[in-house]
Amino acid sequence: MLGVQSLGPLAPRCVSEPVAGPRSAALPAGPPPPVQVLPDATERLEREAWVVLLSVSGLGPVSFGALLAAFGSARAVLRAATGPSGPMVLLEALAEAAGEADECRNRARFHSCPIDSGAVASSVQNDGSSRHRPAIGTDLATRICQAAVTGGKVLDEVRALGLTVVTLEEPSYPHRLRHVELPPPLLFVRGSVAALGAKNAVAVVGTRRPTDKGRLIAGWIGSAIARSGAMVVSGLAVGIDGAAHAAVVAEGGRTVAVLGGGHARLFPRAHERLAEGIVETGGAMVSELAPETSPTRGTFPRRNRLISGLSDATIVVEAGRRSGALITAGWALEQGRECFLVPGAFDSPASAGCHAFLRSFPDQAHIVSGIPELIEDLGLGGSEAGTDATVAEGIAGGSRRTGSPAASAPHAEQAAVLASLGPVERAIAEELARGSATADQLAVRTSQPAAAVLSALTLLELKGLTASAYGRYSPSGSLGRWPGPDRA
Amino acid sequence: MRRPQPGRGLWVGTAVARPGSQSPGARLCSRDLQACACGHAGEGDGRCRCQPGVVARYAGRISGPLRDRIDLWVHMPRLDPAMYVNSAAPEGSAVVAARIAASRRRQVCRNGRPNSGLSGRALRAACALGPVEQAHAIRLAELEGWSARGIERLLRVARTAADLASCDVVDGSHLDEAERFRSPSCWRAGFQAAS
Repeated sequence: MLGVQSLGPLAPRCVSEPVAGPRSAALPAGPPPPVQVLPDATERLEREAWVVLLSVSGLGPVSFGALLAAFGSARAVLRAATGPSGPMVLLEALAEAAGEADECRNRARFHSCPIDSGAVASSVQNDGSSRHRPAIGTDLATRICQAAVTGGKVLDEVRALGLTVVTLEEPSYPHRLRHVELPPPLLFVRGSVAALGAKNAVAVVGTRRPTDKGRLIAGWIGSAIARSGAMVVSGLAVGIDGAAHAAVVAEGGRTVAVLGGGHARLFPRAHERLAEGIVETGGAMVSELAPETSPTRGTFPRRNRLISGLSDATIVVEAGRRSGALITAGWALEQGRECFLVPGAFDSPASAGCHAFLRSFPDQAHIVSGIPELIEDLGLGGSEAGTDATVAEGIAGGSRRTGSPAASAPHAEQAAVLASLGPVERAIAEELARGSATADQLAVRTSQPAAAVLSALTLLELKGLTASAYGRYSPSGSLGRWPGPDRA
Repeated sequence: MRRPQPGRGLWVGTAVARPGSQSPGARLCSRDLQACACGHAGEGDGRCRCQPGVVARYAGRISGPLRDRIDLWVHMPRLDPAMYVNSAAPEGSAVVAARIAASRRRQVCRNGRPNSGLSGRALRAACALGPVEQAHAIRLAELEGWSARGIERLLRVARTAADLASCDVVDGSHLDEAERFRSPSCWRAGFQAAS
């Protein structure tokens, strides 16, 4: 609830007034007041009208913009919608205001992957003008009229969940997102709104079915970016997204999760605890959809343009041939952002999409060739981690391949952690830092008896240095960081 | 989900309970489970095609109370073919069997019966945990959120681990070793981390 108050409260029981206002109000009631100079109370009502309108499923930025242009303000739209022949009024106004061709083209771009947007756009042009027009018409208009009557429910949900609403017209709207094509008019934020506008932001995305190595690399990249002081954006999905978020939370860094559905329909449910962690460490969960919107097949590609739009650069860790992460990468290029892909072995199905993308965009897409190199390429090398690293350099000594300070700091910390362990635990921890393994594999590789390996694993797990799943042990905590080129 | 090994075990997955197949005195329960419907979950090679929710539901079929009653959780991932082909001559089954027999002899000499037959009180006496070990056992139990039954099973497995190592006292390393077998977290946490 704090968030709601800090950014203009959604005071209770306000919406009913304009919505249930004069029933016979003419549609555009006189010249609409300019939105920028509204006094406080009107501004609040207008903001609430935005929330009600944009909670209508099927009403995206394009149609919303058209309605706003036709009626002057969201309140006027709602007022017209509650009138006796609401749907017809809306339909007529839309038909006049929205340039039909623009509408079709924009909608096609909006819902499709930019990689093959050419194909989609041309297919829409063939039959698009006849196919899209009626869909916007009656159905949507009826839904808007229903929402205008029951609008208070959405606002109650927003309040109950403690969400902050940020509109495109407010200065707190994330500046990176403002500059993309068709920015979402409204963001529902849980957590810190300031996190969205962090100085540096990098998206880390990838497949929901990663290999162990991919998961490990996502964690390395996430924690390295967090240590450099930048914010990590991802999609809270299982797999790469979750590994990246979790690594940042473990570092105490800020990370932003862009949801594919509404806040009340958090998906996947398995990440509820991770979501709590994201908010607790000063990050945020963002959605452009109303709280009760269920995530569907169509909402995720749409969500992806927010992930890339909120970031300066997008990193794809692993992506299969048809992975949604490639859509995010495509959006990043489309939005003029940097795009990096982690190359894998060329016979690895989990990296096939990365390779295909790199091949398709040889000039724009970059390769991630190492953690220090990535931090350098992102231009994050010289931030606050610098002092930390010079100390670390002094302690650990030894030769470093690159002097990127943000990436070399973990070496010293990892060395200190390893030094604090007993001999058996240390041998196993060193082995684990190279990647996940089963207890049997660890026993063979370290030539230790199975009993000793098992008890050492319990100790490492108690110290938070490893986590087990299905009998495989993977590094976590400071072991989960990039161990350096000589040891990986 | 496959049928459990017959004998001293529980039958799960059959519609009708079969009292005859449960031996009342048996303390060893064995189950044979796949990690998920396709069997590839948690192998870390991206081969599992199950939706995350499906994996969770599959794991969730083993209820908490039933999990609590299973003594040993042994995960058997797909064996890396290279490891099988290249590894040095493994320990022969006869050698292992002899070690187990020796351990059982120790148990019977000490208490007149194997560890699986000890009552709770006799088990605690046989373990004779020192204050440090007690604190450690409490920490492990709290970490895993075990019931009293779970803690008792930890002690039983730890006592056996100590017997296999020919130790008279149960120390921290035996508790740690037992914890690996007692922890269904490989199962419970699994579908979060590895799905």
